[in-house]
Amino acid sequence: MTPMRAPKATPPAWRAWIPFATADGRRGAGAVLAGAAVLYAVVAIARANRWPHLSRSDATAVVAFGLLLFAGAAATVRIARWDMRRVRRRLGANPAALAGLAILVVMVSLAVLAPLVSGDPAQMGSPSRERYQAPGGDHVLGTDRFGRDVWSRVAHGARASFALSALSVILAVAFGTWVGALAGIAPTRTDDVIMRGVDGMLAFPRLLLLLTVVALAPPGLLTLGLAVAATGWMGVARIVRGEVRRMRSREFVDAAIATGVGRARLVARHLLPNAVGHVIVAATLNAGTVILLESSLSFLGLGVQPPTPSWGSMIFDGRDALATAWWVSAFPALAVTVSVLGLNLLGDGLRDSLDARTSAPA
Amino acid sequence: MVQFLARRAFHALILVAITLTITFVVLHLAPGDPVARYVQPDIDPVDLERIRRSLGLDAPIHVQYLHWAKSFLSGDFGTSFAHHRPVRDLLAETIPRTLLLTTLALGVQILLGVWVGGVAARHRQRAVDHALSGAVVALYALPPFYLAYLLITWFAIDHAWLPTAGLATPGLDAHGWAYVADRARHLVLPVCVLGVASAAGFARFTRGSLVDALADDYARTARAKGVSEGRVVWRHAFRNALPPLFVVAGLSAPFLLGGAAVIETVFAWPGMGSLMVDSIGSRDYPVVLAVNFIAACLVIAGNFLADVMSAWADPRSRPSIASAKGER
Repeated sequence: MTPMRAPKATPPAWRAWIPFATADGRRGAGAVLAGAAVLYAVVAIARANRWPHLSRSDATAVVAFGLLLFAGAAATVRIARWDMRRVRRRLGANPAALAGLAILVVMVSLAVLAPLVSGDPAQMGSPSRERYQAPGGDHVLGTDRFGRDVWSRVAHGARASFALSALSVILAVAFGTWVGALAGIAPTRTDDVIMRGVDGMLAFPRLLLLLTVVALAPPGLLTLGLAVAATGWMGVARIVRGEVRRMRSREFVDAAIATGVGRARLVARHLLPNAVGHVIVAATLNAGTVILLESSLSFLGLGVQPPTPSWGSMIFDGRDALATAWWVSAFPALAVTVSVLGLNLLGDGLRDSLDARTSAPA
Repeated sequence: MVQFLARRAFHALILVAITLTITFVVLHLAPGDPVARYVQPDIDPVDLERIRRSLGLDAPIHVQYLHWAKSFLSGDFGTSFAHHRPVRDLLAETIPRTLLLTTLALGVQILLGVWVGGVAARHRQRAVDHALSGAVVALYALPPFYLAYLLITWFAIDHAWLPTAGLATPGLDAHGWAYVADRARHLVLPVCVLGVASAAGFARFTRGSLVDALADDYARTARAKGVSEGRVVWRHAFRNALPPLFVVAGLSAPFLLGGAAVIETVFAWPGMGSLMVDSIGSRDYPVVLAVNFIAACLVIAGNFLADVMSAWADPRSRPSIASAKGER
């Protein structure tokens, strides 16, 4: 292994994040602030005019997610400095991945536009006439046992799934990248300690650990997101650590060190970009896992709490009526399947288009 | 081989120690004062302090940790808040049932996964492969509990071929084969759902490693000798794809145990998973932590077993053989 000795005194590893706060920060901060202002104005106007049932915290969440997604995408593109044309060409040649992308766009749009394309998910119908109505007629996908519109509930359920998915994956990727970069650049002894901790976390079945964290924490979307992220960052940490350790013995690293690049900059600018592709693939596949986990948690009554519609709890609600009113559980189950399918197809396609080794047909 | 086993076992023990520590940290993150469970709200603060001391909760955290770890490792997991019974007894009842369910499901997963993966690799890049791969990807995305309800509706409610849920028919007084048959009938649906749900990932992996192996030189040599493609897949490539398959089968242990929590709840199977879900509802922390720890130990044991099997299937990964060759 090449000795990792920078010419100057070695800075602490947290300084790997300095480039984000300085060079790109100057350019990025303005864009983020402007974006926040515009997004907030749009949501505020929409609340006043079209979405009276959108609460203030809902609106804040929409703005926050928009910003997080934007910042994540910007940072990704910046770090990776991808050859976008190459990725696009490879992706274009992969119909399954394109289908996955299309599914994802449709489902995310459904989540964002749910109040516009569907009615109030909590609106109950008359118990005598609107209970368990079959699909078609007034209610496209039928009604459940309280006469609530299944289509509205499926559309609003997408919000819980995708909000949770985005929040937890962003948190997990950030934390996992940090831990992985730290372990990758650290001396062998420190690396061992960190990675044995990661292995220990991985030994716990994720669903059981998640159930435990959810039971300990107060309920809510934020704590749920934190819990899912806290049980899902280890894969990313392993990928990043492996990639950093694999790359640090290469010549370009020696060259960078010889030109006086510090350790922090070395990680952020020379080593991490190599891992970005793998991390994006992992994040995409992880997002699918999170949607399945959320449905399992809600199904067990420990995920998104009742007034908020969620696919998992809808399937649970429809279980007794499976023989007589299949539509109550079938459509949310279909929504879960299609969303996870889309994310997995996209993830696999991205892996193929980023990985030169598998570019030749099998 | 002995040296290899000893080193693997040592790694596994270190992992157990780490999971024990993580469990302790989670225990201390639990809200509420543990003493508050034992006392009236209007107790004299002096008495409260005395009780705290008698429970050892005034000791420094590392002393508490050592004390707790000692009792935990000796199998004393405390008393369940909800059941008022030692957690050890609850686990002794539920663990065998969960192990029965998950090992059978692992069998279904491996057989189905290897078969589907093998057929897809045999007909790679043709219609059969595309159809099978598509079905596998879709199955992977289907929530397993919905699959469970579909199967219950079809097999248990519409046709009454199989029981809907439970461990055995209530009140059935059967012995010998009748008893075994009754238990087996109750196992069919949960094992199938759990096994089929986890077979999807395994089939994908099997297909991938078989396709890689089929591109190797020895596969070409076998074909050149006139060996049929099916024989090349199952006799030549499969043997070489086996070691990573063992590792992946070992890695599916956390998935099976986590999935068992959901599937056991659906089928009212009184195992560790449904015990866990019930305990979360009643905030029964001793049970929750013990189940987590046991599950982690089972996963570590599964991975250890997978390593051993993989070393058995692939002599190259045994360090003793490598060193013996070096000496020669």
